[in-house]
Amino acid sequence: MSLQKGDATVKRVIELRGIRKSFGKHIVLNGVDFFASEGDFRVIVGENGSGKTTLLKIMIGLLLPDEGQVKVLGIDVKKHWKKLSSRTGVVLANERSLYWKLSAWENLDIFGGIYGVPRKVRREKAKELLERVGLWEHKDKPVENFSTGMRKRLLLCKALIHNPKILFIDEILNGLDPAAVREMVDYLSELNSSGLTIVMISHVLHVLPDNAQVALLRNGKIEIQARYRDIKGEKNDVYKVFERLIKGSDGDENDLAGDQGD
Amino acid sequence: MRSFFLTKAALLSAKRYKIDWYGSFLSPLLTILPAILLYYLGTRSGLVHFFYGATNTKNIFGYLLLGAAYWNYVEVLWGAVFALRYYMRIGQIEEIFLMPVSTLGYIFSWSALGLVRVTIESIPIIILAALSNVMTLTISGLLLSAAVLVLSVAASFGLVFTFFGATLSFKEGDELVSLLGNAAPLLGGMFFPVSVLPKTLQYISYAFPFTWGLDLTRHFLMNTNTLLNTKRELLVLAALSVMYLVLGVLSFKILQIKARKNGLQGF
Repeated sequence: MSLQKGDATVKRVIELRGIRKSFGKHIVLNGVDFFASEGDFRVIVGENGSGKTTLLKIMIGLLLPDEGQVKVLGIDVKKHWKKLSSRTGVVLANERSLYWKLSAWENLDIFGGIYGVPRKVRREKAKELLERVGLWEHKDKPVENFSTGMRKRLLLCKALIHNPKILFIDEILNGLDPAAVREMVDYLSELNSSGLTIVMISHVLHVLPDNAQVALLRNGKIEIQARYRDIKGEKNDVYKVFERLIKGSDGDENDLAGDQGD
Repeated sequence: MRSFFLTKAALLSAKRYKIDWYGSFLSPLLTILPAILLYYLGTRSGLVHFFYGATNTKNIFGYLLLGAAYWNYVEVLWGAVFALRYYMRIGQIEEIFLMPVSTLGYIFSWSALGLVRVTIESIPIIILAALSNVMTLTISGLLLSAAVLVLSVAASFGLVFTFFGATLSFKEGDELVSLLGNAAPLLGGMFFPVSVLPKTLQYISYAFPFTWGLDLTRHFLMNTNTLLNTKRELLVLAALSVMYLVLGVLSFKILQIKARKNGLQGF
């Protein structure tokens, strides 16, 4: 499906309709609609346990919804999730996704191979990525000797090695120092500017790019969707704004709820 | 081809774990000790004659060594189950699920490294087993036994994947793997022919592909008796290979569906 946004035709790449998911008697998602167009930078926020990771895992096919439709890049994810994997990059919160005994270079070489990147291309890409995230000097060190921040950066490289169309990220900013958070967000913004669609879960909210569209997940639904710059406004304490939004006690909520991203 | 990279990752990781090569080479050789003891007791107690009746060989030493060499390959299978259960526990299986690799590709990648490693580690015991059976060894026998080994190992990996899927339904899965792993040498004919087992246990042992694999390997190398005639036994082994590979693939697919429905916390 294509949408008109100003003069440009924008392609919708993620469509989730009526998603419901429960674990036992606990209802996690209760009728979520979520859409993203090509080149969007979407950030999903919400309290711990609000279902953000569940929603992301449904988008990439790792979890099946009880009800609802999931289409990513035109693929029915419920049925053909394996077809999606070589076209999307995924950073899961679990750092064990990497091979800890192997070096950063070996990890990228292996993941590139698994995702079908030709040898010459993946070597060039691995070098480019490692240089960009400042890990080139550490390329031969085993991942087990990396700090949390270094592992997160390598996880991002791993997800990008096969030039995905969409990048799904689960809490990559957690555990990073302030400078590293800034660098990571700058790099994600750069990737987004070059056309990569990004869906990110984050609790770190103070340095998001202004054009990011924030979706608040509350009570099993996406209740508010708004541009980050509109949420931030003139107020400096962005965490306070989000805290009020998450708790549902801010009058601004009504002003922000208009942009539902559909 | 893509699954080759999973094998490469496993190989490189194994290299970094500082493998105790002396231990790796010596452990299989330690199987000789029970062979020597059994040989001594066998000749003293008349067990050799009992064996001769059931196996058509008095070469108990060669019989046991061959069993031990073969069994090293079966041991790799149990290792694969523990590795998969470990991936489940640390959550790495999610990353593995996401990879564009087919189920058979996973089975190949997790088996290949173990098979290469066990072949290298078992060289001393394989040489000893061959030397102790030098009187009955032929080129055609060697080739046939190698083919049987490949077929039975393929079948056994299917069995392992089926078993892996089954163990995820139990909290005591690791204990179940250990229990069967310990009982398998006795039930599969490593130390003595399965024909001397009680009937009920014989039926259990017939369900294992390695029982038939080992029986045929010994027959081709030592001219021992077989449970059925050779052609039928080869057919049984081929049928078990197909059946267990299909069951293994199904088991893995069911595991994926369950994981997608309930999440990994559901196991």
